[in-house]
Amino acid sequence: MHIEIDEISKQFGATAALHPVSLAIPSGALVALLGPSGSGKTTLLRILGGLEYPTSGRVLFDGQDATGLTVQQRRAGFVFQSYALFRHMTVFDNIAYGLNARPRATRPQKAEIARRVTKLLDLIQLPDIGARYPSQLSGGQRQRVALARALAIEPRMLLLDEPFGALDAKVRKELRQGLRDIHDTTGLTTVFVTHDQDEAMELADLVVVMSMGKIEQIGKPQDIRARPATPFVRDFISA
Amino acid sequence: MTFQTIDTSLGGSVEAPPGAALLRRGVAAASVVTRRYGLLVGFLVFWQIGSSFGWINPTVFPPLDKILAATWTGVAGGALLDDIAISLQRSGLAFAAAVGLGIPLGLFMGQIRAVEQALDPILQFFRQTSALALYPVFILLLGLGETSKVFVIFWATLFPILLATIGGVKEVDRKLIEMATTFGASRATIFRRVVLPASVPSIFVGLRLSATTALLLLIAAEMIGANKGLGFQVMNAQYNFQIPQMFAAILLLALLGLSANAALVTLQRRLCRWADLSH
Repeated sequence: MHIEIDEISKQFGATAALHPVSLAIPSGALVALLGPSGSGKTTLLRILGGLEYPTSGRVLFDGQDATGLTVQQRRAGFVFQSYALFRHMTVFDNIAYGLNARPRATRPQKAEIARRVTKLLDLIQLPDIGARYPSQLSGGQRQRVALARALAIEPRMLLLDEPFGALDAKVRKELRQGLRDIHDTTGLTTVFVTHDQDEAMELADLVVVMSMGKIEQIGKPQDIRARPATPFVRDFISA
Repeated sequence: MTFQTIDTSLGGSVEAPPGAALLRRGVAAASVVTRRYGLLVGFLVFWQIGSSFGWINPTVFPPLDKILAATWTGVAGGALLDDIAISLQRSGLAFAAAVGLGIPLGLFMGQIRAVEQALDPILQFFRQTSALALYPVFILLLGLGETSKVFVIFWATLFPILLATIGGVKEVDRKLIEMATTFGASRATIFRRVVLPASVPSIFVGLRLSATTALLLLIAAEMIGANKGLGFQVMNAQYNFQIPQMFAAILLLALLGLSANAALVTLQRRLCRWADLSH
C-alpha cells in the first residue's frame, strides 16, 4: 500500500510534537524513521496507525484520504517496543488474538485460524512454541511472536516502534535480518521507528531522518551517508 | 537460518542412567526437606524435651504429646467440632461476602477513574480505622449476635481485596490495552480478555491477605463476645487453666489458617499458570 503523509502536524497542549511534515512511502518499501528521542518519529508512526490523530494535515492510503479512519479500519499490524504480548495467553492464542477479537461474522473458522497461526510460526522459524507462554520465551523469541501476531490479521502495512530496542546487540543483529526476510516474503509496506542509525542504514530501503518534530532528510541509506543534507544529519549518522 | 543460533539453548538435557538419576533426585529432595523444615522440627523437638524435663515451665508450655492428645480428644470426641464449625461459618460467610462485593467493586473502580478518585479518600479513611475499634459500633447497630461478628470480619477483609483489585486493574500495562484496541477489540472484550486476566495475580494477593485477616478478626470477635467458636475456646480454656486444651484450640486455628492459604495458593497456581513459568 502506498502511503502519503501530507503536511501533518501534531500539538500536545502547547508543545508541537510535529511541525507540518510531508512524506511519500512507496508501496512495499521498508522505511526507517530515524532520530533521537523527542524527534517526533514515534508520534508520526502512531498517527500513521491511527493511535493518534493529527492536529492538521492528511494521511492518504493508495490515494484515498485515510485521516479520519479508526485504528481498526486502517488494518495496520503493530509491534511495540515492549511487544505487549498477553502474558496469560499462550503464544498460539497471542498470535490468534487479532483474529479471535473480530466480530463473529468476519471471524475465520477455528481450523482456519489454527492453519494461519501454524504458518506464521513457521515464518518466524519457531514452529514448536505455540503452547508456551510469553514468560517462557527469550527476548528475541518474544519479538518474533509479536511480529507474527501483527501479521496474523493480514494487515495492509506493518508499523514497528523500536522493534529491537529491548534486545541485546547480538540478538538485535540477527533479528534485523529476520525482519528483512519477512518483509521481503510478505511484500508489506513497513515503517519502523529507531534511534539506532546502524539499524536504519542497514535495514531500510528509505531512511527518514527526524529531529525536533521536523524531517531533516529523506533518502536511500547510501545517499544520506554520502550527502547529508544538514549539519544535524551529518552529526547524527556519524555518531 | 539467522534465527538458529538463538535457539540452541532450547535443546534437550544430557541423559544419565536412570538408577543414578533416581538416587540423586532422592538425595536432592531430602536435602530440600531438611533445609525447609529442619528448623521447625528442631523447635518442636526442643519444646517436647524441654517441657518434659522441666527446662521450660510445663504448666504454661505443656509437652506436645499432651497438646496433641487434647486436640485429638477435642476433635474425635466431638467437643470442639461445634466450635470449628461455627468459626468456619463466621469467617467463611464474611470472607465470601467480602469477595463477592470487593472484587466486582474493585474491578469497576479500577476501570473508571472518576469513581476511583471520588471513593479513594473514603476507602483510605475506612481502611485505616481499625475494625476492632469499630466492633463496639457494630455491636450497637447489629446486636451481640452472629451478625455483628460476621460484619466485623467482613469489614476487615473487604479492604485488602478491594484495594488489591483496584491496584491490579490500574496496573495493567496500557500498551496491552492499546494493542488490543488496534485489533478492534471492544471495551467489554478488552476487559474480559486482557484486563481481568492480567489483574488476577494482584487479586490473589488481596485474597490471601484477607484470608489471614479473616482468621485474625474471627479470634478477636470470638474472644470478646461469644460462647462458642475456637477463639472462645482459647479464652475459656485459659480461664479454666486447661492449658493443653488452650493450645489445642490455637493449633486448630493455625491449621485452619494454613489450609485456607494452601487452598488459595492451589487456586492461584491453577488460574495463573502463566505468571510463574520461568523454566
